[in-house]
Amino acid sequence: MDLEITPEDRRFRQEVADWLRDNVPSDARPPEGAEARAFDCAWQRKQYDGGWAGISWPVDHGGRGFSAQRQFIWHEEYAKARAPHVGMSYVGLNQAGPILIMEGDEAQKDTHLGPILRGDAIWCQGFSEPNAGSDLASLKTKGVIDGEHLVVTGQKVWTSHAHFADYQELLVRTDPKAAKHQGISWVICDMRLPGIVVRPLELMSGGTQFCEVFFDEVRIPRTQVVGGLNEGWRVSLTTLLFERGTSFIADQLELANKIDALIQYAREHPAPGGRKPAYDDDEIRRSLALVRAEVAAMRAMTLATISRIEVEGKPGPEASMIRLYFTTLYQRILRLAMEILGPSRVVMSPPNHGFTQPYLRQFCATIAGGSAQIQREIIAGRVLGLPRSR
Amino acid sequence: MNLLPSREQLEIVQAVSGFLTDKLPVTRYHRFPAAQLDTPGAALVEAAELGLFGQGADEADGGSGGTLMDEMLIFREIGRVVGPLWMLGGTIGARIAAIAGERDVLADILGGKAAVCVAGRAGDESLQLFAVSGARYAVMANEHGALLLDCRKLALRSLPCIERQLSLAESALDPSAVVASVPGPEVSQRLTVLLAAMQVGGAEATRDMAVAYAKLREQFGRPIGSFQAISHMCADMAVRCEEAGAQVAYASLCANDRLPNAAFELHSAAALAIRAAIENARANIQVHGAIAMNEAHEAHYYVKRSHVLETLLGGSTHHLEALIVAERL
Repeated sequence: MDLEITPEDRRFRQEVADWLRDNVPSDARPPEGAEARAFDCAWQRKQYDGGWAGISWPVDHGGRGFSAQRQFIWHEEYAKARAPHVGMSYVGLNQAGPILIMEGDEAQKDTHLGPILRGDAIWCQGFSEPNAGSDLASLKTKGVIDGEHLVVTGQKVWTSHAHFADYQELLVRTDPKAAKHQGISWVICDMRLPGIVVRPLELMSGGTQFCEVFFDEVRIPRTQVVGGLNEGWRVSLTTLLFERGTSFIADQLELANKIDALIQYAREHPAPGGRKPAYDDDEIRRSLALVRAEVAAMRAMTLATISRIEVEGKPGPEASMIRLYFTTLYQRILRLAMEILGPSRVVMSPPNHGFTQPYLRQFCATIAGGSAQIQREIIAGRVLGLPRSR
Repeated sequence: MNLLPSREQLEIVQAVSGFLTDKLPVTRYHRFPAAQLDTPGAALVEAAELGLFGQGADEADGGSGGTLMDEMLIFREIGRVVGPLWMLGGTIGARIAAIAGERDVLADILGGKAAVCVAGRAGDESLQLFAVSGARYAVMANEHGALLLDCRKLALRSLPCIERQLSLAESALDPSAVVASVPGPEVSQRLTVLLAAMQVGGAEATRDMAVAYAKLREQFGRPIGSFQAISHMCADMAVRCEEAGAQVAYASLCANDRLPNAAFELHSAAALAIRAAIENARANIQVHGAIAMNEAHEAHYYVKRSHVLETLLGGSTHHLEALIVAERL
């Protein structure tokens, strides 16, 4: 056990900090719409031109191939520099790209990896369906094989940024007779194909970033299947593994900033129903202290995971706990903010700013990408070895 | 940077763990007649021979020259078996004696000739001493400094402890009892790390007990661990172990390297370790059901010990108030 930092890593941190200081956009990221897409693509392009695109991607595929430890340094400096949220670039950089690197053929990689890194292509995720949420493998959108094409008919839902995406990582049932995990394929779907209708949905927190996507006999060339026909479940598990790994470190580190902002707010505003600052209320101050400690622990858990990746080549059991910990902590912090805000809690803040809009937005934290209940199932089953519930 | 124990550290942990499960398992308390208190006895010498008290002491002082992280890992194991508090007293006592240059006292502690109990403040003027039966010295520490006290010069008043086998006494802090006094926060930080590590060990032990029982115990024709009401409770116990365990490990590194954020990390570690130990010990009893209400079952020792260590750590509130104004990275 040690906290030693090599001179190379120290230089690396300085290099990252310098570049971010000079290049982080001064304008705030637009919350949604075509302006958001343009902003996200331009920022990704700037990182690409600066040599910082694909920090976790292998060098052979145009990335930087940083160790887990250097990725952490990057994200830590990124949060310190208050660089913009990854936004619409998330799925391409953290899911579709890595999947194509691991499972794609040469033509698929040649076509797609470059545009993702350069901010020329936005991807969305077509996994969930109206009747396939936590039980994702029960999905019904079908891909019927017709010569050299899959003919796709069905519906996806909760697809973030579908109306601004160029491509979708799409799960379809290609063998209706096989067991439910074995008849699924992972397909690259061009969002401009005829037969696709995207209908944005308004979120409880305002804005229309997620969508329903309808497919009516959409003809997708079979060459767009990734990792083999009916191999989609295995391929998508690789995605989920990646999503539960290190891809949300920046969000975690951002939480520390959020708490400092909340502590500052509590110092400057009176307690609900009182005259003294909220910070002087024992219960409020101690609640703030507790979440501050919890954010520290989340950082320590992340460092432990990174240590395990560096030493053993893969994350340990704690990795599956960090996501549950992060999402529930995020919600507790925003719930505490609602307590501290007093009557201001009913005033809607601008998207992704202040506390009330994020409070409403973050209900999705314990639902998306595997609900908190599914995360507990995974911990109970795979980490603790408890018998399955059914 | 690496938060994982090295091979050498794992070997030390294994040796200590073997000694504890062999000589001082949590079930040792079952053999005690009703009124018997835990006294150091033969195990004190065996622990000394194992080099337990000098693990983190310099080699020039007769110790092993280990780091605070080594001690943290050892005390996690001690926490797992609700281990004797004179192990903590001896380790801290040796540290104070070494810094203060009390060579004879140091030799007696390292050699297992003198047992050391652990004291905390019960009020402005009064102390609570834990594992005081058979102890020659007592240690106490706060951020300003640490004291080694001569128990024979304290007017001790015995009290029944919630952990029945643990000897507890109150006493006034008599300045004439001070054998050695060292300034600064170093000893207090070390004590905080080791107490928090014991809490993590307790949280891990109760997690393991609950999980093992949930696999074994059947109701409604299947193991209770297959019910989500139970399995999700176990998952939350596991998360609390990772949370507190990672933070205590990281804090031990920061304290060992005397980093400016050490105080923040330590207070955070203490607050979370207290919560993990208490909540897991409580959940463990709930998972076991009525059988855990038996004195003859070991689950209750962990509840009681978690509150004893909470008290020695000065309580959560103290740490929360300190960490909110402390400097983070």
